[in-house]
Amino acid sequence: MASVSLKNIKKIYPPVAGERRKHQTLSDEHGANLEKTECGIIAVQDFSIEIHDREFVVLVGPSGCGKSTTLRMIAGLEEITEGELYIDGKLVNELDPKDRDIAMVFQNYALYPHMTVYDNMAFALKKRTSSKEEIDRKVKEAAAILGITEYLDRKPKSLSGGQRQRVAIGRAIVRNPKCMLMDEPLSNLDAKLRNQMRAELIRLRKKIDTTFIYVTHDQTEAMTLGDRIVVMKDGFVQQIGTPQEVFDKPSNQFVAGFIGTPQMNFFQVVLKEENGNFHVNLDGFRIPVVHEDNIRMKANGVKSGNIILGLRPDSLSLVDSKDCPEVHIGVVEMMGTNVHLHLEYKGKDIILVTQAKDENQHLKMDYISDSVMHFSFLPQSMYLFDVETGKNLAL
Amino acid sequence: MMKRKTRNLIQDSLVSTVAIALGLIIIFPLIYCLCGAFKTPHEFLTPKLLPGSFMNFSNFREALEKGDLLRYTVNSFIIALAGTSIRLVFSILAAFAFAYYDFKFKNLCFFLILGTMMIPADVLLATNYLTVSRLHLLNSYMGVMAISFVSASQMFMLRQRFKSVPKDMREAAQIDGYGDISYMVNVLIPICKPVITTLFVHSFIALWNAYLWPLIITASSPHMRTIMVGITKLNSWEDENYQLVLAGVCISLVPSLMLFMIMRRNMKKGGMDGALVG
Amino acid sequence: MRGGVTMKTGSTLRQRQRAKTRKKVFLLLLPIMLFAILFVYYPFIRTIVNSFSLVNAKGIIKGFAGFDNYAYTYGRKDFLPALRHTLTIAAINVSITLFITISLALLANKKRRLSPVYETLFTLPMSVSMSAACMIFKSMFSPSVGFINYFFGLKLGWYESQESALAAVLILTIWMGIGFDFLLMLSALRAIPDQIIEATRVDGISPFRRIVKVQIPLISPTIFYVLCTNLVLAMMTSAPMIIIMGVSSAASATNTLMSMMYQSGFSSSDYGLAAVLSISAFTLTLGFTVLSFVFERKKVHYQ
Repeated sequence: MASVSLKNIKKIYPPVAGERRKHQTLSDEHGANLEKTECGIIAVQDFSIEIHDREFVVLVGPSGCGKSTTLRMIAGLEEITEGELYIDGKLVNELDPKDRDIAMVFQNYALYPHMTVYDNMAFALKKRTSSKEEIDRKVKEAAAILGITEYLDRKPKSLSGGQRQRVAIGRAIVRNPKCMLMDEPLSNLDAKLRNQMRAELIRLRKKIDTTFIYVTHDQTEAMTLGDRIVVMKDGFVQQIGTPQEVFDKPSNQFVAGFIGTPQMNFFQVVLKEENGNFHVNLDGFRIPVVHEDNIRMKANGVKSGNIILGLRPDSLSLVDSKDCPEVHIGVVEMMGTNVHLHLEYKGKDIILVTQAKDENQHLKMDYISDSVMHFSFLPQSMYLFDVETGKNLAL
Repeated sequence: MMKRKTRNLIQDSLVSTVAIALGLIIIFPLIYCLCGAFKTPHEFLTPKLLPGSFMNFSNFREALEKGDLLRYTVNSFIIALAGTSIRLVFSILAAFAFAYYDFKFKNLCFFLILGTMMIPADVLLATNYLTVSRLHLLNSYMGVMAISFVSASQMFMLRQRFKSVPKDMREAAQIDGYGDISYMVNVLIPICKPVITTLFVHSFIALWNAYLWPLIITASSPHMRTIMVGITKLNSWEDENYQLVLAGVCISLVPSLMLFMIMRRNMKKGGMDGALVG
Repeated sequence: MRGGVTMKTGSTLRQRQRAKTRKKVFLLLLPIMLFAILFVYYPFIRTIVNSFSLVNAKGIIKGFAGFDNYAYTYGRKDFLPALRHTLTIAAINVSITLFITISLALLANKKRRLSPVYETLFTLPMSVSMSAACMIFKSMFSPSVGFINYFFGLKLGWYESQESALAAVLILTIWMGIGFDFLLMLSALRAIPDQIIEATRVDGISPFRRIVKVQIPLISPTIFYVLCTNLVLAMMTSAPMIIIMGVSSAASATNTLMSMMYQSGFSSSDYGLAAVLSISAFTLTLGFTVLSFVFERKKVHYQ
């Protein structure tokens, strides 16, 4: 139960001549866009955040964005190249992992295969408490919270994936750490189990009263679990905010496209100014920019020109009017309650999400492939991004 | 189908019979040794294979007492056990360094250790003898064990095995507060038990069976001899003493054969996967 | 915020951690490196140095001798015979061993009900120590009470004539090597993918041709490995003969390089000669040792 504060944390992997290192190959595969300087490859750039006591913060982003590296720096498994890390007000840059009072759940659980579940959980306590009764009490307590009491005598290899995961979490919480670090704990589970465990984690969180820092590449996990989420890309922090903030007010095109399923649709449009007001020209169709956004864009010094328009799939509607842009119906995905329509617009694929049934519970339409329809949307659902920087123009 | 099955059966039986016959020929020296150990001196003079009775333990008794084989057995056991343990510890420590750390000169050190495999020990015999004598370790257990503390092949195998243990196991232990040595003792070694056991058995047999070096080192102190040296001294006084010698040989073979059986069982699991049937 | 404080903690932390690592690694590698240098590299270099120096009976170097030691050694009357014997013994030993072990492995290849029995029998010699084997064979070959003479109806004094002594030693060393080499050959044979053998069956290739044209070529890396390691071992043979015949008969014609070395080093304290012989033996076998490493990696060829 402690606050964690990162100030300008940076991680640079120095260039290594000759010797092949694991992070060298990592940068080749994923983070080919990581900034390379003479000092080396910058895996994490200038990361600052104040995490409050008992907050659940999620670091989310694609592979190679630096989220795991950041987590490992907090844990003490990676050196912090620059910047300061405070846990509970104390500067911990130089402390070993064991002295930071943190606990970690690894992606592959890292359970000790030759020990029983009980011993796995007791292992960390042996170094801190000497009394056997106290260790026993703490292990049984943690086991009860996670519902693994009946497995205490078993070895990891006789447990299922979900059970092992709970043991991994149990091993971490049994020490009552100041901060819980979780490195993609759900990514090894199959889809159904993942959903289950996600709900479990939310429930668990109420029982375990500590600060959580959670890393994942799955934006659904980030949205459902986090009090705040940190979106990262190529070592840079893109945005920090609550799930709703990040969803409603993405700071740039990347965040807008990353958060939200199905992904936001992007169009290349022209921003025009007329009588002091902006409007968007989408291939000839004119859509006015909402008043508040107008003001903010003026304040940001936005000029007319080419920009990117973003529209979430559920803000589009299918209409039969010639005054709206034309599309061809492509693939129709019946999702039960919703229908995902893949539409072809000027050679690009855009997705429209709508309800399968109308107010009267009748199936809305028979969507015929290749038939021509039109789509429309409300001006207030527009997101406008700068073509070069990707920044949200209206923020 | 029937015809082929019986044909195969006959073929197999024939081949098996031939193979077993050949096998018996191959282990004939061992059979001979066993039989000879139970013969009385008189029986030995008659070139019959089987002894009068397999209950005649007088040769064994004599070898152990008069031939001092009991003391030699103890010596061999201490040397084999201590030598193997120390060798294993050295190899584990080195393998750990190579598996978990990166450091300057890492490759140099690695090849230095590996290089010891290229030089046959016999070439170094004379100089090592002088070294050991200058260190005043002649006629001591340490003197016999000292040259066998370095095993590059052991270290190499252990390094391979250590590298295959997932890295996050060590990180989890680090977070739990375990340093290098306690990690090795509590986690790494238990996980790698099969390989370590196999290496222990191999080493033990090798040290138990050693002859030339122990001979040289204990030349002037008969009570420090190992059993392998001891059995060769059993017939130094008379040529017609072979039943005694063979009894001594049988005694010396006991641990080797026991460990051989263990190795066979282990080989079925790891190592020569599926290469041997039984 | 990139103040002087931040930079300093960054670099000294790294330095400190690197120093810590260096200390840990040093301690971990110290034992093995210490003994490696003391008992392998030092003696090796010392032996080389000895071979170029005048060494007295106490082992202390008295002066530089250039190539004199080598000239003396190679010029000795008994050198060339010793070399010849070493090579002959090695060649005969290796060829017979290879033949026997390959044949046994081919015989035992197929897994049958009784396989465990004869596989154990074939590999058993592997666990017998050298001195135990020597003593057994010594008693077996004894002219008076030995079994061999009885069984074959011979009256040979095995150690009396050169050829028969040689034969005795060869039988002994071949016997000792069969166990382990058989194991290697068998594993190699069994590692050949079943499909290749099945293909030969379908193509109607006779067993003999299959053995010669398919199986043996496919296990050739293992064969070469066994060849090299056995050559090295055979060229280094000395101790069995010492036990069986006693050092005094080193004057006999079954002398090899190594037995000469042993004798000069320990009996006559001629350390210079011993050093030259050691180095010569080493160079002789070095090539094969290196080769054996190459072959060890590729136990079996696949397509």
